[in-house]
Amino acid sequence: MAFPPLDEILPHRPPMLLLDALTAAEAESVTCRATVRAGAPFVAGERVSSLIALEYFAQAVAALFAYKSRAGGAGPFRGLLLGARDLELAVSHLGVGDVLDVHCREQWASGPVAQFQCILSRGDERLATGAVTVLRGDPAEFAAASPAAGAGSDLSSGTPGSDLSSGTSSSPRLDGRDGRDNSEPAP
Amino acid sequence: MTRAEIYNRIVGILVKSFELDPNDIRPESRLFEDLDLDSIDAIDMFVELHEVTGRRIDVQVARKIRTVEDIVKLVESELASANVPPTQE
Repeated sequence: MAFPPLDEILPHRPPMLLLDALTAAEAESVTCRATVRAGAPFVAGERVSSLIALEYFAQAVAALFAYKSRAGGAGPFRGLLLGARDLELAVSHLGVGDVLDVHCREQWASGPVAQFQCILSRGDERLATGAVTVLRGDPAEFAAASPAAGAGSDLSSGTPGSDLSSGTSSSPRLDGRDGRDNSEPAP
Repeated sequence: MTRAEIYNRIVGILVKSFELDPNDIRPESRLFEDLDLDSIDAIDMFVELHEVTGRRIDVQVARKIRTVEDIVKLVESELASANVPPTQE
């Protein structure tokens, strides 16, 4: 099945469009391909921190929303990565030349908010897993309607992005937990 | 599931997901003010509750949640609804 090029359906543009192509899409799941390239954002010395998985996950979910939106005849939309949980990185870095599969499956959704369980893999090797929570729609409208807003707590005044670091409870693992040494040249 | 079982399950979720001290959690604890959850934590909690009830909790219902006791009542109500064929809206 042929899918539209990502630059036709996503607002992202190189170099921040990190995915190569949409390779599978169903109602609640998506798979995209990505290649780590020399000179791409965050790539330094032939490798990039595997934390880049978070952005791969976010862009893959955006690709699913965009693909479904276009299939339904709807136009562009806004969205936001609200946070991540249980991010586990099996390697510390990815290497230039790595060809990756980014797979995300919706596990919960309510109104404009959804959570996807995501896997980054290279062939049969699982490199990163985690859940990302995303907002589809205008962040300002969500802030006005959120439970916290009603309770006098903060979403709008707080920075949703800040939860990315506190929410990823596995941050102590980020350095070298079972880290693959990517210093050798990519095959 | 009895009310006590539901309460214990919810405390378990709060402790596991947000690293709270179980001794700090009481039925009357307010999620945002007392337990220091934020709205993104609340989303994570609703994902966990979905696994308990098998039902997707409506955003409008979720907005009314303030305390741990509110969650217990919500889960009770969701479980009761799940056991009854939906005969009305």
